[in-house]
Amino acid sequence: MGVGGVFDLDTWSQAAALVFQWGNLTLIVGTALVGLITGLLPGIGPLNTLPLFIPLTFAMPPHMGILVLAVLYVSSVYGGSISAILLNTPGTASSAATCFDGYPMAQQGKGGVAIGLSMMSSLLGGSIGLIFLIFFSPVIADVALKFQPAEYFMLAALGLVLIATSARGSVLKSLVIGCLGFAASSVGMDVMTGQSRFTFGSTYLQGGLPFVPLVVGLFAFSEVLCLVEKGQGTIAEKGELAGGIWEGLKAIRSHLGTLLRSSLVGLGIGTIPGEGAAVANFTAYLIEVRSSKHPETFGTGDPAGVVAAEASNNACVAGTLIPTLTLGIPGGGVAAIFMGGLMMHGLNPGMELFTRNKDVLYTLFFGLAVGNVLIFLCGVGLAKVFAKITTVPVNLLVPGIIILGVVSTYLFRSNFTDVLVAVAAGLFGYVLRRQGYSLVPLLVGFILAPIAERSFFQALIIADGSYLTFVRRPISATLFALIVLAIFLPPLLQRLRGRRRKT
Amino acid sequence: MAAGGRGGSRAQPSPPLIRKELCNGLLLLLGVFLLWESAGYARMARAFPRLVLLLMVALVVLDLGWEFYRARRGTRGGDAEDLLARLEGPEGDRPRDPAPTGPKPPARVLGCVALMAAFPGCMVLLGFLPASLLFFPLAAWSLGYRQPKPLVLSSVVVTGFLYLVFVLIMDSRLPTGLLIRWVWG
Repeated sequence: MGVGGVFDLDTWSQAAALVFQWGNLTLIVGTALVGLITGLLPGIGPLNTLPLFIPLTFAMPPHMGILVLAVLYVSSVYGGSISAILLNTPGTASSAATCFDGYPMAQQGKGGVAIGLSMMSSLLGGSIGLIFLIFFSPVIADVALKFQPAEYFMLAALGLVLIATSARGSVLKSLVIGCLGFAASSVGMDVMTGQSRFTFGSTYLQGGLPFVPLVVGLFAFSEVLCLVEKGQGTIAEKGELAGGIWEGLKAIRSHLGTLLRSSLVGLGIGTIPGEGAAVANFTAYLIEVRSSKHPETFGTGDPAGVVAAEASNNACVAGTLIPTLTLGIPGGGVAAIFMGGLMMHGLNPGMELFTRNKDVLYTLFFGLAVGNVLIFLCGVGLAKVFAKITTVPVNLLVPGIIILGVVSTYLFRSNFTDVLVAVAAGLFGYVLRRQGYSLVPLLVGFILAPIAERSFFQALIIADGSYLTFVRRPISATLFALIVLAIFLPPLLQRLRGRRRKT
Repeated sequence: MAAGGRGGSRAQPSPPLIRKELCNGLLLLLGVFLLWESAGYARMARAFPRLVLLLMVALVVLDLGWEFYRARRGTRGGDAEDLLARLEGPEGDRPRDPAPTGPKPPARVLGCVALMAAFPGCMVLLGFLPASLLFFPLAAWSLGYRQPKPLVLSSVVVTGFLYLVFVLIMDSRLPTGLLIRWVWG
């Protein structure tokens, strides 16, 4: 399809007609509000909310279902900045660097200015990322046409390794849990041989471990258990917002260079499969500190610090969608859940999405562009109300999340066994988290395993059983080299840095 | 550059190695069990899962060996350098909430799991609306929330909102309750 396909005006106008229906616009605004609220509550976030919403999107046509998930993802990232600025507690990990200058600004009575700046940075950074997503994803999807099964297998393995090596905690533990995700995906009937694997005679498991209950349990329910364990009263004592938001919106004019630089950093990091959003905002922030003529002002309420963090994390969202939509390799944990939602709607990432399901894709692009503006307007207009939400006690939030999780899981297949699976997955996820495991590699392994297994056997069949096929072809050999580098380079560099510090 | 008071972490006594690596031990047992289970499968069906399980077992053994080696040398965990993990910790100059009253954390967690498992059962018996109206205040009360008026109001608002979204707007079919159907037919 190539870049030329982007200028298909017929498809764009169909997308616009769909998005600008009153019902769909209301749905986007409603989703934006939910995402802003869940993003601003620390510990809730898109990773725990998206799974709850996947079953709800089944009642919608695929265009809107996918768009709702994407708007929820984007608006959660917007919402994370509100608690970062007001409470010095990031709502999501991708807003952590916003605390460094956002909170000091709030302490100086300029919380409204900081919110205005962060909203405007998020809008513009997200829009820059979206432009790249629209223009470059067809190009990458074109390149992916040259991939044979050996390359797809290596890409799946590389995706898992990158996610595992960038996840929090020990790399070894992340790789272990990624392998468990791969193994969990093989439960059920094998499509190639008809063999029932790891079902232990259960008819429930014949269809495999269900994605929605698994993801609701592992993320939403395990997070609930972590909140209950902490026993925290409220997230904030009082939710107040001082200072003019409008002033903050205008202040972006003085930081356009920072905005552009940070957006490109966030976009680049998001494109590489891994825990990009959390890393992007720190990297962009540190780059601004190092390139500033007055680095000593950072950390004391410098607006450039807020701009850098927020522009990068929103551009990163679009970046994570690039490998997700074009190659079927999730750009991060939330992108993995989004990709699961995409597949639940019968849509396969890759060239098929850019050709046969172009209408869904363009609705997503157009909807995100409109959604970005609507999220911005909701965020700016309701920031003072959102500030109050941070005073809701955690022990009032928990029952609500449990009810929503149970109902969402039940609606997946109207099966209560799914709910029990979700509860069990929640307890399992909680235990893993307490023992220092990240859950994202588990999810990514679970999603990538079918692609990896199918490609693995197809490659062997094509190569008459020769395993050398995975390293003989130039692209797969390059991917193999990248896998080796991704595993061994970071600890090697860490050791070298340690030795240099000692000397 | 101010770190927002998040740079320091209080030293915590390290849990015994066995407790720390409990999950690794369980994963090792699980891996070995699944490898044994897959021995009887067709060759093509077992190839990929066995490859992955062997890799998992090898990585677990490597990790256990590494942790044991570090424990013997008395070196600190590499995970401690993770800035993001520290940011999510309770450290910093933000005043801490007073310690919650009521059961200790393990009891609270297990209680919550019991609540999560009980709610579907309530839904089957009573239906979505009555079950939610009953569950919400009971769950919040058991988690330590003690203000009756906001509790009742929250229960009604949350349940009503979810009913509006799921049943009225999305036209989803939620359980009507066996007991209700038995009583009213």
